[in-house]
Amino acid sequence: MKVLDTRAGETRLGLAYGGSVPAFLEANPGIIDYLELPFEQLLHTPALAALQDTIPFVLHCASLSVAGFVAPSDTTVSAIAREAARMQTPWIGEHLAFVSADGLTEPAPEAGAASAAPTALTYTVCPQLSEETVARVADNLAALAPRMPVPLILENSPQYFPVPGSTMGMVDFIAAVAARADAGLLLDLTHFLITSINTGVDPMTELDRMPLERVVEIHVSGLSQQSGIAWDDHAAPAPGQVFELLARALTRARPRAVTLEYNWSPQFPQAILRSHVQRTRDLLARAAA
Amino acid sequence: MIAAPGAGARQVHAVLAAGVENPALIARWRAQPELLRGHGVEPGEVDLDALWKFAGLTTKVRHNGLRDDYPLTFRVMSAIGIEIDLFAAYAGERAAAGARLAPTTEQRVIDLMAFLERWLDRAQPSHALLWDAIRHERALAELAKPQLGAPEPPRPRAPTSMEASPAGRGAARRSTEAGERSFRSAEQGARATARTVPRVHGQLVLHEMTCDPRTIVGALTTAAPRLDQIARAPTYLCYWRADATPAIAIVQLDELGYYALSLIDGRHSAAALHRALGLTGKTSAAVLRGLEQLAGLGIITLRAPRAS
Repeated sequence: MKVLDTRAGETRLGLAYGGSVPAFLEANPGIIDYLELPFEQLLHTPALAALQDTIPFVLHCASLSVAGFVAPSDTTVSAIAREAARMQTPWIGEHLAFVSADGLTEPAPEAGAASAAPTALTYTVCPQLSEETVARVADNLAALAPRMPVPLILENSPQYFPVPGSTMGMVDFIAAVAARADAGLLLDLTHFLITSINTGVDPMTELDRMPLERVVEIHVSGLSQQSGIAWDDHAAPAPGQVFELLARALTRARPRAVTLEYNWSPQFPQAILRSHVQRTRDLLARAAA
Repeated sequence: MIAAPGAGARQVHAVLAAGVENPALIARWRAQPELLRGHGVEPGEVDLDALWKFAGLTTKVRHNGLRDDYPLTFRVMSAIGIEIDLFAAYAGERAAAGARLAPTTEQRVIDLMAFLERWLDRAQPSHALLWDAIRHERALAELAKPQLGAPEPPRPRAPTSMEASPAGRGAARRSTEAGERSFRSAEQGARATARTVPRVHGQLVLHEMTCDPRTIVGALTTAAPRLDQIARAPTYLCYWRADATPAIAIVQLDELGYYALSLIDGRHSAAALHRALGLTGKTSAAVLRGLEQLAGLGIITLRAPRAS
């Protein structure tokens, strides 16, 4: 079993696992250093674990609902911890978001009435950006961290609309969470750009305000603009603006890993994948020089 | 953004999650905004349109499993910028009907196509293009499935192209692509008469398209796809897989050949087909020649009538 060595100080380059990856690795042996595997995908397709005989894994996760008020089940937490230990991932990347919430009865129940079962989603949602959520994340991480064999690092959500009750912007929220929970960050530059577009702020200015010294891993992927909103799109190549943000981030951040997330389409063009791997390697080399 | 009294994170998360999970609630909140207040959230604070679209994104992502067999469809959706609105409408419709997404990829395609057939405005060229693309890929996926009781065939090669002009504009043309030999028929030179009973050999899917969907692939390979430049004209396609072969052919027909082929049931004669096509008088030479050409390609067999 291969294990990612991140001690050397060099930034590693990886790919999020998707249908296009096996052919890409076969055609380009040694081009990347690791695969990022979502816990949920491993749960669904345990046979993927065998890939670690040929390439190291980094564990990603969307099940812990760290910014939520409904805790994940004990079984889920244990399974994630077990998987992290088995694959010897250097950290677990988790979304700074929620994936489950209290159930809602419609119309609203009378006081004291039984509440509905929690709502469990399959996609993470940007939380309310407020002190209340910051405190909640810190509490959740305090409860989860001792159960994990490696650190949990937090990935910024893409924000598609103003979340009611929010009292701060995304960068302030991330900074507050990171400071209060003393957590490492997974900076998804595409999510960052999406949030900037959708909230009308300048991404470079906002990036300069980020606590980049806490960044452990960076994500790069595509986005699409439809129906008046910028959306996450892992089937599309990252636009130039994302690489400009990467270059800027690397002037202050020394991430241990950069992951290209092109995992939604098994037909993602291999030529683009190769060129983005090279472009990222070039930026990393320039930053290290 | 100032916190409204009662807009606690816990309630807000519950409202957002409920809306994403069940967009029918979003529709209800649009009609009755005061319902949101009952959940501790001021109606004016929630962008219900954006939440509706977000539900579309999550539904789109849950269809990523279809991309294996429907890459062209998804690329067209993306190129025409319709994914979010389409999947939001689809999520809303299913939620209103109390229907969850099907557990299998196969059923998800069937359900999505049923929705698209209702939802797409095919008078719009971009919508018609998407409808062409998904039917094209559905036909290929259907024919690639193993037949009942047969061993699973190897993954089909890229479809072979053919053209047939059963109405007699000339001999049927075959492409020179690989796989051509798979379709050589035992019925080269077969003759059809009015009493001949044609029978389909293998599996067929017939579609009338607004363009040749294979041209969409080419248009999408450019950095800035110009889908509006794709030649549009009624295009009659026969997707065909002969018995016991994994290869799939796409045969372009003329209108008469298309409708004639759609009527072949292995029971009715050429004369009956002629009448079913709305033609009168003696069985036309065009129909007979068309049947001979289809037989020459191997798509049908021509059976002589039983002696009475």
